[in-house]
Parts: sequence; C-alpha cells; structure tokens
Amino acid sequence: MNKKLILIISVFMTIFLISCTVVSFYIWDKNLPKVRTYYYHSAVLADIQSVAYFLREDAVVLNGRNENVVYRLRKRMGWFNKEYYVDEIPLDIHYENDQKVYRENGDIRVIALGLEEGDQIIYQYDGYLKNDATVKWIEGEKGKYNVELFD
Amino acid sequence: MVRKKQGILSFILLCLMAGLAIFPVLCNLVFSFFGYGSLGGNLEKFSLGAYYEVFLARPDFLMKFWTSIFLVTIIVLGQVMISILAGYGFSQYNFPGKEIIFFMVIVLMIMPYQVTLVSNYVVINFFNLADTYWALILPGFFSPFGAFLMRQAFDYCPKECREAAMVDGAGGMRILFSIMIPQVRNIIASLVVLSFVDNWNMVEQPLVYLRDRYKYPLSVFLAQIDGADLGIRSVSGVLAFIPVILLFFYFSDDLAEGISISKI
Repeated sequence: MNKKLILIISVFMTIFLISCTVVSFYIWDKNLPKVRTYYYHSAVLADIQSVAYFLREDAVVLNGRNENVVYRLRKRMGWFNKEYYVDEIPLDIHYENDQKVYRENGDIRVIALGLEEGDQIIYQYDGYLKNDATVKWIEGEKGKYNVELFD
Repeated sequence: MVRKKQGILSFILLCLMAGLAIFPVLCNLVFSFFGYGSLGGNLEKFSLGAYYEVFLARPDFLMKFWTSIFLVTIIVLGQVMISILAGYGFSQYNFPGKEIIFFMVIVLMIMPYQVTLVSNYVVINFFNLADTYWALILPGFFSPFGAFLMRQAFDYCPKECREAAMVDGAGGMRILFSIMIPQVRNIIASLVVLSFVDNWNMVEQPLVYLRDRYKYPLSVFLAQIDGADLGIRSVSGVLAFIPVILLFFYFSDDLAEGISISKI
C-alpha cells in the first residue's frame, strides 16, 4: 500500500480522534447527573447508648438491584482535575412494630454501616445514579467544619 | 500435474487459515454496527449507537486510547534506541563475557514476562515509581528480543563497510548512524512494528504497577470490560486496532523483508 496514502489517512484519523475527544468531554460534562446534598450528622441514642443512623427519607433510594441504598458524595482526581463521584452505601430500614421510625425532623432510622459524620448525603438528583459514577455537585450544605471531600 | 495439485491444496489451506485469523476481526466489525444477536439470532437494525457511545458520549474510551498511544510511543522509541546500541555492541565488538551476557539475554527473551513481574515490582517500589507511568516505561525500554534481533541484523552487515569507514577516520557512533543503521533499516522497521504490537497489548504490567484506574491504557480496559453492551465492546476493539493496522500497512514491506533477513 502507498506509504504516502497511509500517512495521510493517519493524519486525518488523528485529527478526527482529537476532535472526538474534545467533543466527548463537552457532551459528557453536559450530561452529568446533577446532585444536591445535605450534611449528615450522626446521632447517639441515649436508650441504646450507641450510634444510630437517621437519614432524610428522600435520600434512601432503590438501586438497579432493587436494594435500599444511600448515595454520598466523594471527591477524586479525574482526567485533568478533581471531580465528584458517588459512593453507594447499602442500608436496611429500621422497623419497629412493622413501622418506620421517624425522628421529630422527619428523618427515618436506618442501619447504614459506613456512614460518617460530615458525609454529604445526596437527596436529590436528576438522571440515573450508580456506584462510582461521576456527578456534578449543584448545591450542598457545608458542614460546621467545612469538611473536604477526599477519600 | 502433482505440483499443480499441491499448489491448489496449499492455496486452499492458506485461505482457510487466513479466514480463521480474519473471522474474529470481521465479527467485531459486524457486532459494532449490528449489536447483539447478529449470528444465530434476529438481526438487529444497523445502528451507530455504539460508535456514538464510544466516540462522543463519554471521553473514557478515547482518553484510554491516547494514554496507550503516549505510553507505547515512548516505550517503542526507547526500546529501538537501546536495542540498536545493544545489538551493535554484541555484533561488532569483542569484550570479556560477551557470549555469557548474550546467553543471559536469550534466557530473558525466552522467559515469560510473569516470571520477572514480582522482582520488577520490588525494584519499582524501591524507587517510588509505583503508580506512575515510569513504572511501565523504564522496564519497557529494555527488550531482550530487540537486542537479539538487532544483533542478527548487524551480523548480516558486511564487516568491510565498517572497516573502510574506520580507515577513513569515522568514529563508532558515526559508523553506527551513517553506515550500519541505513543498512538495517528494514529490520528496525520490523522491530518497531513487533514492539508496538507487544506493548499495545500489555495488560499485566499496568494492572500490577498502576493503581489509579485513570492511568490504565486501553488494553487493560478491553481485558476488564464486562457486562457492557456487545456493540460498545466491539467498537472499543475497533478503536484498539486502528493504530496497529495503520502501522502494519505502513511497514508491511519492511516487516516481511526484515523478518526474512533476520532469519527468525
């Protein structure tokens, strides 16, 4: 095959792939799910003298495998700069006498080992979330100590 | 008559073998356009959805492609330089222990890469190069096969050319770059192609030496792709063989000549 022709094809392919890369970054960024979060405060119940987990009811969602989960926001190094991503935490809803347990502010009691004080819990999002997916953080309630979202 | 029959049989056998080799590539191409169920099931409609997903919807695939290109280009350049210098030294110079060292190079060449993986990791960790691209690039620079191939190539060059250049006052490097390298151009082209293909397909080294998944090349991504749509997997395969096929066509004449001259 003519070497000159192959060289020309290679140059065009390179330009095409570079253009696709730039365009894909733009499209991907536009289509990222947007999330809203709130600051999680852990609670200690006096009667059991241990940590109990209370979450906003809209923060407890079903994932693709039909399991109850909560999503928290984390930060990591992306392709060129830091990005936010979703960390899925499985949980069980705590029932007493077949009823959900509510706190005075409307939060429900769950069993979610792994949740920590200061986590940014996702309560609202558009699109579809799954574990480890990159997201755009629209709004969040900063904690008292303005905790940085690092792993 | 017998020769004609043998010729036809050989032709049929070669066609069958070529078909077996090309069949997976053709399947890949078909699945990339028609998706799942193209063979034995209902034909899907022609669709460019998988191409949109890979090339435009998200940058993951293309960024891994560019990572692979970056890594392999640097490794191949370094490997070719070091192989040329090593092969030239083994071929044209006599020094104590030359044959023993060359024997060790051949032993390394025969050894599978997995045997030296752990020891390489210990060295890389010692120099704090783990989870960096240098962990892939620096070990990749040395290729026993490249040194072996270049030694064979330089053995093929007539010694009289070198001696004539020495009589004219040329130094070692001048002889290498002006006289010897132009004579073994074809074999260097073969080395470039073989080295490119070898490093383009590396999977174990990135998995062991790198921890950040954003640093993984395309080959690791293809090896780990699971549960994704068949169309996307096929298009990723198409993306992976574009540079290889272009490189092969560019160096196809040199590759055939280089392999035959080096008697591999």
